[in-house]
Amino acid sequence: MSGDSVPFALSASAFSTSSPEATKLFEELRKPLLRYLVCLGLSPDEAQDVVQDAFLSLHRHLTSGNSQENIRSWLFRVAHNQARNRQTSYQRRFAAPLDASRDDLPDHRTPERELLAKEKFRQLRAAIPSLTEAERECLLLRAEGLRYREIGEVLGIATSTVADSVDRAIRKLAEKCNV
Amino acid sequence: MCKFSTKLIAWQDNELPDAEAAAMDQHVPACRECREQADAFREVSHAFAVYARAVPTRAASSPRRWWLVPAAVAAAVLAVVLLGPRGPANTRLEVRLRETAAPIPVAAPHETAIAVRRSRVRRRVPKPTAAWQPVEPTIQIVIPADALFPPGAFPEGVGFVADLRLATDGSVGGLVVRP
Repeated sequence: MSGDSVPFALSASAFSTSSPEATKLFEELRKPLLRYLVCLGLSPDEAQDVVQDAFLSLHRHLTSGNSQENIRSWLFRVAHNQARNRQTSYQRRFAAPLDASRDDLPDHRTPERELLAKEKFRQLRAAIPSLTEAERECLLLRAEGLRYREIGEVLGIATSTVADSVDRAIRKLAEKCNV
Repeated sequence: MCKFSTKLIAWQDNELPDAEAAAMDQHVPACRECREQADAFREVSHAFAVYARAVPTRAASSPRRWWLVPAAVAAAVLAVVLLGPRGPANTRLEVRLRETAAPIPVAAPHETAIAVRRSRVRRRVPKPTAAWQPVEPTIQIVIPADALFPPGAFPEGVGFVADLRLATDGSVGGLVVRP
C-alpha cells in the first residue's frame, strides 16, 4: 500500500479545525472521489493528490463562510476540474481500468456463477468504449450515488441532459451486453 | 415499443416527478415488455456500478496483502494493551526501547510509515514454557513509536518491529514486539 494514509492525515488534521460534519464528509466521500478519478484515467497516486487538494479547497471554502449546500457535488466538481487540468492521460479514460482476472468481484460462489459474472463483465468492458465521454461521466457519477441534479452541477450541464445521457448510456450497454 | 419504456431508467433512478412515477408504478408490473426491459436495465446498472467500484484506488505495491496491514497493526496494538501490564516474565511480549541511529525502514518516500513484509524471521531463543510453536509464514511489521504512543513520548526515530506468527487456521499464533 502506498500514499494512502499520508493525504488522509494531512486532510484530516486540516479538517479537525473545521467541523465534525466535515470530517464525516471526508470519510464518506474520499473513496467515491478516488474511484471516480481513477475511472477518469488518473493513476491512484494522482487521484490521491487531487482528492487531498479538493478537500483542502473545501476546507478553505467552508472556513471563509461560503455555502454549505450541495457539498457533495461541489467536491466532485472541484475534483473533476482538477483532474481535467492536470490530466495528460485524460483522453485514455475509462477504457480498461480493470484487470479481467481480478478475483474480488462479488458473487463468485459457484463456478457457473463465476463464469457468468466474468462473461458479463467482459461484455460490459467491451461495451464501455462505445459510450461518449459525457455518458461515461454521467454513469460513473450515478454509480457513486449522485442525483441527476448533482451530476449536472458537477459536469456543468442541464439536469435534463444528464437524464438523456444516462438513458442513452444504459440502453447502449444493455443492448451490447445482451442481458 | 411501449410508450412508457422511454421513462424506465429515470423511473428506476427515482428521478421522475411524482405523478409520472405513480403512473409507472402502476404500469410496469402489468406490462411484460417494460418489466423485461426494466430487469435488463437494472442488471446493467448494477454491473456497471460493481465494475466502477472495483477499480484499484491505491498504487499496487502489494495488492493481495494490503488488508493484512490494518489487521496486523490492530492485533499488535491490542496485544500491547492486553499483555503489556503483565510484564515480559509470563508472556511472549518483549518490549525493549533503544534509540536507533538508523531511521525506521520504510519502503519508499511518500509511502505509509508502516511497512509490511513477509519474511522468514530467524528463530528466536526458545523458551521452555512456549505455549505455541512458531508457525511459518511470519509477518513482520515496522511500527514507529508514535503510532503506538502519544507524540513526544519517545524520541523521533524510535520504532518497534512486531513479528506476527499466523497459526494454520489463520489466527495470530504469537506476537513479539521488539525495538
